Amino acid sequence: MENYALSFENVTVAFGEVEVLRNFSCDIKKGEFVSVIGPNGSGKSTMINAILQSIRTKSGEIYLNGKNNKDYSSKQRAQYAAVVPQVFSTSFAFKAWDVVMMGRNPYLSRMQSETAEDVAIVEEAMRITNTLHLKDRKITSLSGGERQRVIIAGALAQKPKLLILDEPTNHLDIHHTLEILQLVKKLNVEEGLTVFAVLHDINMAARFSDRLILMKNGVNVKTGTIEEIVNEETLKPVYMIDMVVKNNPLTQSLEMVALRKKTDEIKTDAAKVHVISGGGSGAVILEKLKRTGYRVTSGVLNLGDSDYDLCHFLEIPTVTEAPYNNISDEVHRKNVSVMNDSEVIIITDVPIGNGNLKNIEALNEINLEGKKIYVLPSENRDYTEGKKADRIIGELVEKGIAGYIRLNELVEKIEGYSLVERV
Amino acid sequence: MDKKKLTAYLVTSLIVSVAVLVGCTFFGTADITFTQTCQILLNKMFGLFSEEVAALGSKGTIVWLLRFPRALLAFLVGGTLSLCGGVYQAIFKNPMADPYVLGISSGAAFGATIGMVFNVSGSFLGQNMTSVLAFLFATVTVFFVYNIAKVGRSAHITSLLLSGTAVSQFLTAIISFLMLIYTTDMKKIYSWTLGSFSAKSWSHVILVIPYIIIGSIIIFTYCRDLDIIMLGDDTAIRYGVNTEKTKKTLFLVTALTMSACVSVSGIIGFVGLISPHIVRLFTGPKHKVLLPFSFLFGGVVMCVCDTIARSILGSEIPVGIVTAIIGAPFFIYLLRAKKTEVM
Repeated sequence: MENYALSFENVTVAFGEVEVLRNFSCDIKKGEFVSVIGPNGSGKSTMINAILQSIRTKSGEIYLNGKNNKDYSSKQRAQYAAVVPQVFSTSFAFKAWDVVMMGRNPYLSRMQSETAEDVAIVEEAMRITNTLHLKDRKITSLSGGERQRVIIAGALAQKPKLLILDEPTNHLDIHHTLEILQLVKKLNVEEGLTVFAVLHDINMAARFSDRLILMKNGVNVKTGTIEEIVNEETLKPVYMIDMVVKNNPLTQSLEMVALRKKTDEIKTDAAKVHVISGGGSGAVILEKLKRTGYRVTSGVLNLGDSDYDLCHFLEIPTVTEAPYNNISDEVHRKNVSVMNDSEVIIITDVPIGNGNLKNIEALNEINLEGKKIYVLPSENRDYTEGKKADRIIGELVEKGIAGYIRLNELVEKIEGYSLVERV
Repeated sequence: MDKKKLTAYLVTSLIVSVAVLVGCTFFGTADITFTQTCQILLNKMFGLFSEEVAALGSKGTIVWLLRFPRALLAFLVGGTLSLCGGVYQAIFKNPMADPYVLGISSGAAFGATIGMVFNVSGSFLGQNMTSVLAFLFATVTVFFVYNIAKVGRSAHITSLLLSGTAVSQFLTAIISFLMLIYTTDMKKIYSWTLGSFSAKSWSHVILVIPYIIIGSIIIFTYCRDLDIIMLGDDTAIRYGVNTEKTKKTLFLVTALTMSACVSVSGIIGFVGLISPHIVRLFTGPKHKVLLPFSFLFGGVVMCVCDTIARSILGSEIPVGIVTAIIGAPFFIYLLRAKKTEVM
């Protein structure tokens, strides 16, 4: 316990019935730089308010330097842990110097006035935050970046062992954001200052932290190294966006590129649709189906096929085969069962050869009752001997189970949820 | 503010304060010269000029037992109102906060009204029951207001302001009601609520002085906490200030001190609101400097206003009218002239 600067033990914080932080535990080792990330409302700032005791915990304990947080007096706590808030604004025209000097309050008794040592500490804090030249300026006349640096100077004047940052760069431009985080990192590395930061920006968190705590809806989703947290698998479900994570060779850190908001919302009454495509022929259809909320499957697609990449990206369940291989019996059986499950099957204008003929042959093996098959017309679809694919499709069209449809009409039907006529 | 400037300000303020006290004591209808006034004061305080003063006869009584205690009381009450006004402006972070924000005025007025309407007789520590009731109700009202606003262990600033306003309105309504029923007492009640130092003596000074001395000392020890609280309760907590305890202590101290003052002087508006603002324009927001100067400034203003109140017309007018008539335009002038934010 003594090795930890900060520990949460099963901490729950509730506002009335709503638990904004649920059963949260973590241990921050001395000298670590740990960041908390997560979407809005995930309970990040609540942790800091709980440390400051400005809100009460419903259950669980918080330890600072191995000692129960409740056993600290306000001043003792402020000597060990300093907090840099999200925003600081005031209409009272204190000088920057006076505001930083307030950071010495935890060390001064009520009657005591500031000593030469306090003055030296304040001067040093302002020097390293590059604010000494602002010392006689009024805090109200400073820019957002200057003011935030003054507040950090105030926090450093507290001579803390633990620096807690509550989205400190939320209102700052990229220049000041970097300036502040680089300063904090420097103090962390050079002086062994423990840092516990709530950060909005995943990339900044990944770049400066040793470990990350990922939160969602008041619950700790995962805690781990940057590599363990900053990957598509972990972040996508938390942030509900489509993203790509890549290594930025310039900063030597993982970087997340947000692509768009994810529409995972599935309309419960939307039909199950299976798409037979390949080579990019299904791109528009797959995307439309997914976005409008159909339960989409696809297959069989070879790994590396551009439609496969798209399905992977859109998280469409896909029956796959190894690259450049014919469809094996095993994969075929799987495909048949997937197709059996769907109400609608769409055949794009993908060329059919011996390699993917089984996708069409599967139509003869499934139970066609109640199924609807849409076929995009194509002049040169079939490259198999004896035009087996054209024959199978032709028979189905004759029976009235399958029908030709143009792409724009199909898209209209998809968007109008009228792929299946429902009573 | 640098030390030199501060010392200069302080010396000037102290000289002005003494001059105003003496000047206001000298000012009046009875034919007493300025020299005689000074001689009498020096005699009573330091035993000087014994022969000269003995020759002045009843003039000594007028100066020492009537005019000086009145001027001193006005000075002390004005100072206290300003001091408490400054404290409340910091705690509430609100430039409109005045010493009566927690309902002390209406509580005191209610107590005094009860005393006058029902002719409660008797005395306590040499004070008539009107004053005693004013003190009691003023104090009780603050506790009432605080407890209405309290949720859990803390009272939110906005809730305090609102509950203070609500309770004040309620008590004022009852006072109005009582005034309409007991019309014979209406003028008396109305005058009391506008405040006056008429017929105040050493006994009143002695009554309020312990409250003021102890209260001021306690308040001055909280100067740094007030600076920090002014930047927001969140900031204060970060810097290790126990905000709730600080607020509670200061509410208790100011409530008792204010109640003592109000019970002898009635409700005098405006001085406690504007003095800290005016002083802040010169000293900046740091309470270590702001509060002592506010005290002196408020004292001087009240002393001057009281002198005007008792001499401008043939009969006395309530000092509260004078403070408002002089204070408001002066404050507006300063606002325009300095063109800076008030707080």
